[in-house]
Amino acid sequence: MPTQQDELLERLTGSEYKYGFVADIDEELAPIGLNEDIIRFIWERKGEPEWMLEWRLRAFRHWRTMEEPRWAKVVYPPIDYQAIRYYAAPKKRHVQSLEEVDPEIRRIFDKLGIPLEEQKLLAGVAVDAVLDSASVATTFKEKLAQLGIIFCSMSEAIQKYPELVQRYLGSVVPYTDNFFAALNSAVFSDGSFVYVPPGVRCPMELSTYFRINAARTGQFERTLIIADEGSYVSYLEGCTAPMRDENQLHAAVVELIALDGAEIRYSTVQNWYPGDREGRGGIYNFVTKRGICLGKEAKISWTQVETGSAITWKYPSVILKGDGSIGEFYSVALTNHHQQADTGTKMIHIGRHTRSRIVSKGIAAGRSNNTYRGLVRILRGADYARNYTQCDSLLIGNACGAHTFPYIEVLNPTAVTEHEATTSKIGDDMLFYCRQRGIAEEDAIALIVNGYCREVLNHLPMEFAVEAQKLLAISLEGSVG
Amino acid sequence: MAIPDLQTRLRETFQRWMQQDNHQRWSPRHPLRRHALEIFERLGFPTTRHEDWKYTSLAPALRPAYRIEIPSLPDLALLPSQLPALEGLPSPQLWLLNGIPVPVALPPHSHFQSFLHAEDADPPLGDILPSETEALVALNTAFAPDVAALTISGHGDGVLHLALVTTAADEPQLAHPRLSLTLEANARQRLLLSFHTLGTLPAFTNTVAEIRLGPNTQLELILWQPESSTAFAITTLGIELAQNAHLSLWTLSLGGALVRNNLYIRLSGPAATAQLFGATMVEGQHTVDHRTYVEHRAEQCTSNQLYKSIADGHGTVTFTGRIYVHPQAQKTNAYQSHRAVLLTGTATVNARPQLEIYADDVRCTHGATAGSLDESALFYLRSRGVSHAQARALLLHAFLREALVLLPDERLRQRADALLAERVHLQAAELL
Repeated sequence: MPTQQDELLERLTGSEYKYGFVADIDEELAPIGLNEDIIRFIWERKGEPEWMLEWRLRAFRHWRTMEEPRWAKVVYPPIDYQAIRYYAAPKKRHVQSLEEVDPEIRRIFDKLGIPLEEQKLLAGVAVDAVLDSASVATTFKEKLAQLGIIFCSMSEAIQKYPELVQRYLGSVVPYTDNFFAALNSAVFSDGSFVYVPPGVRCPMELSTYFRINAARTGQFERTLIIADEGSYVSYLEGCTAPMRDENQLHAAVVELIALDGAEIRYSTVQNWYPGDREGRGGIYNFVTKRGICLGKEAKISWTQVETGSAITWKYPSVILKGDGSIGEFYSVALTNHHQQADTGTKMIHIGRHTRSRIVSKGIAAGRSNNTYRGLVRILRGADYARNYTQCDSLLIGNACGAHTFPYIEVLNPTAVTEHEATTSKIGDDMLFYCRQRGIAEEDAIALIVNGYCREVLNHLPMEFAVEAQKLLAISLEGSVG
Repeated sequence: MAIPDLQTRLRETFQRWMQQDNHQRWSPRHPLRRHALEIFERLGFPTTRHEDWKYTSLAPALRPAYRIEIPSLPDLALLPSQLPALEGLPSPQLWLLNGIPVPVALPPHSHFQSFLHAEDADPPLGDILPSETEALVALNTAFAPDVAALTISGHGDGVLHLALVTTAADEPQLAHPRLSLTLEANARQRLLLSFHTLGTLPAFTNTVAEIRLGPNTQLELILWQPESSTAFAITTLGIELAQNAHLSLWTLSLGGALVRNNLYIRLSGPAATAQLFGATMVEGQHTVDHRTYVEHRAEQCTSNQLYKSIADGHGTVTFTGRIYVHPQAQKTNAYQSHRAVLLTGTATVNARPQLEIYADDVRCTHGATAGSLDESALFYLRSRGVSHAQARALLLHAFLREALVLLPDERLRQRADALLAERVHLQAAELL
């Protein structure tokens, strides 16, 4: 007999993907498949300089020698890399103002709840919207330009600032790094580029929205953020994808470089299509994100709220090279139905007095599997390094799994590392306490889970915190029983 | 290339044994052994590319030119005087000499059987161990000269002492002791397994033990690991607990060139409990690698792990602990903690505390820390006139001792205390 909880669970988990719609936009497509001609096609379409072709081809040749990693705790059928379309770009380009943007694209963003104009006027957010692969509209450029901040699409950066791109592209995540990074290096079509000059504090949150639209297209964006000495920038990334039955591949690379005294905050809200309730379709999100604190006292902070994707394979990391640099990782990962997430971080302490902090909250419901996998490595020279790690998992229902696989390697006697992890369900006593005070079960659960995630959500910029809470509400309220 | 070399020699030895099988011992023609050899041939010795062996390389242990054949038994009467590590321990009641069991004075409530004459293994061998995937378990099954099968019924007083000796006086020796222990329902036993090397040449001891705890049993098991710096000791324990069985296990690892402990604990009956403690200290180039795999298969079981480690010199301590909770194991409580202190800039500590959980009504936690001695505690002692060296020794002693405070036998506890004190250079007087 179904209990009241089961009914509640059923009713609430029924909430289907809100952002599943397909927009008809004229797109320019590359033929399906991957070979050197496709890479030349992408390179040609993007009108890139010769050195980019060489770099892409080197990456491609290296990729062909690599094997797909199998160590993550995720299960999926083999991916046919020759059955994917590697380039899809809206045909209408060269927009001068927001008004010229394809109304269809504008409609998509409106549905997503990020109307460009409204944000421009009210929130003061500069949005570099990426639809499929090419940048469609870039706002607030002029305001940023006055401060010397470069915020543009990757393709534009390759054209206009080749010396910066050549110097830093692949310096944190080389194309030899891993299978998906190599693939990305070969075929990436676009992404965002940010450069903040010395001593400049970026006055607004830089924001971009990625959205995978065309069927059977993988999205391979590439983001490069450089914060020069003493600068500060906060970058927001949000992702959605329409409903597609087939699994779509997304293999992005994000590189962050913080020089002396610079600070980069990188926030992600990822709510790509997770597949349906039976586990059909959904996005394969295989992302390499890494930042390096090159200079002294630099700081890189990752915050992520991961509620989407059929499979998430993602470890935003920080290499703490400069003395006294700081790395942070705050994460909420929620999986439901048949979703699988294998996510975490790596903190590599190289410099003296480096500090890192990891707070990870995993929530598993339905038949999903949620894994935290992290590495804290204190190298010989990292005197007085400090790490604190906390990873908590919450299980909802007995058909899901929550796992914790941390790796801690300490080679320095003056360093201190602390790791703690807990796994539990929502306390009956907590629920009882709320119920006793007249709070409905559903609200009580939302309240408790919200409190559970608060530590991470508090690190999101205002604009995102609201959306993240909404997202959790949609996915979470429903799954707690 | 040392690795294929030993592997080839092992294969050749096995084939020779097959041909000249004179059934003096457990027959190499036994299907279990032949199957095990096939598994070992397929897997080979693990390398650091193997996830479970990521931090510990077997290569130095495989380098010596080991004798694979089992040498003649040493003189039992002389043995205790030749093994200084036996000092302070109760006298052994069962010897495993290069894997050959020699019972001496087993208590009446125990029943000893060797597989020497037994055709079929009962209880079955290898079913509570990952026999198909662990190369060293397969190697042991293929090469163990005999199986010491011990059954305990009723309550045992005092400590039952099993001493495992590998003789490496004239040639480096490879030994494969095999133990099968069963506690029948309601039995209770205190068991000491001590590991020794006779002689100063390299000794590779690949021990496998299977322990079955029946309903309402209680086992207190102490692993007293080798101190010889030429000892390579791989110990794999599979322990299955039935309903309401209680296991307490202490691992004292204060030496050995390479010590690796694989503990597979399986809580198969409701309300079973397992407590694992480890006190580890490495120095020189020594490596101690603890791997625990605690599997909760039934409801209302509790497991608790506390490992404390000190890494000195160029030593390496590795701890990999996995708590696995099956979907049916509701109301599980599982705890795990590894705390390590590094004393030098050349020492290494690796920790992988892992949780893999498929049931929702559980409470599982793990913690891992690594760092140096607490400066304020040192200062406190210094301000009271304790020398720096003694203050440090006191703190280190207290740190390790925490894992051994629950050791049940007074005599063993004192001996362990004294050993710890010696290792951290603490003057005996200050123990009081």
